[in-house]
Amino acid sequence: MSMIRRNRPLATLLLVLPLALLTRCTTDDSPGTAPAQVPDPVPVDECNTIDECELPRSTCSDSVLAYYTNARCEAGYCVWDQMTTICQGGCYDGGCYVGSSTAGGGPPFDPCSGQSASILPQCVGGAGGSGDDDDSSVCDADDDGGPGQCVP
Amino acid sequence: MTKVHTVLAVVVALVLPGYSWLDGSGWLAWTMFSKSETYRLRVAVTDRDNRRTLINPSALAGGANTQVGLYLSGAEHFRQAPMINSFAANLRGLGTLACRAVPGAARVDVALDSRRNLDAPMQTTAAEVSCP
Repeated sequence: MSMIRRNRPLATLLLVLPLALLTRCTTDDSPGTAPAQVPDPVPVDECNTIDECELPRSTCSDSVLAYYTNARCEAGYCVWDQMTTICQGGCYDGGCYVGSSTAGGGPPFDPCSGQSASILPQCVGGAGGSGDDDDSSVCDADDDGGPGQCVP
Repeated sequence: MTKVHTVLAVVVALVLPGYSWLDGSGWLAWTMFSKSETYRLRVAVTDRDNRRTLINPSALAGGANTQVGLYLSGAEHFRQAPMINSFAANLRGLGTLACRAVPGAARVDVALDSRRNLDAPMQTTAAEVSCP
């Protein structure tokens, strides 16, 4: 008894540890036990082709943006991967936003170089228009090696 | 006031803002909260085995600069920001970014759905990019 008194912290640990092991969450999926799963809030759609699938809407949780990507049609169902990213300024209504107020949209940009481009020609077409024959893109995929080309 | 002052005032107060208005972005004019345009991006990647995958624009944000990434996030649904012209002019660049999102990507179809204001009809601008 005196030994236990002397080593009270250790004795307490030995008592608490088995209790913690007994009460911890388990993923045991033996018959009669429901597997520990987070319910999927996104409905699963049936599909024949990927064109029948839509990306679920992104959601915010504090500053974390959860979005769904890599959507494909597998075994008759739309499936996708859920990813998360942290919004530096804040997350609202399923998108990241600037933390401070801005006076406008900023200059036209080059998405690849990280630089704001000079004034760019517009490529605003009608419904279903294609930008395929348009040379206004600063960052195109042509193999001409010209300025603004995306480099992996 | 000298002639130089007058010319300088006209250039700064009229020519530059007007030029940016003609460009459509208005970035050299004072446009604070004066626009209600909305946009949505749809990105579909086809790989060499002809399998199509839908990519969320948020997944492209990591390959773009911070400012662009901000407006790509959550753009699978309509967002309100004055970015229609910028995105429309750079759809092929976004497509090239999407090439990196799927291993074995062969082709990317990028479409920008936009409304100039809340009452305007939806316009679609599209581009197809062949992956290297």
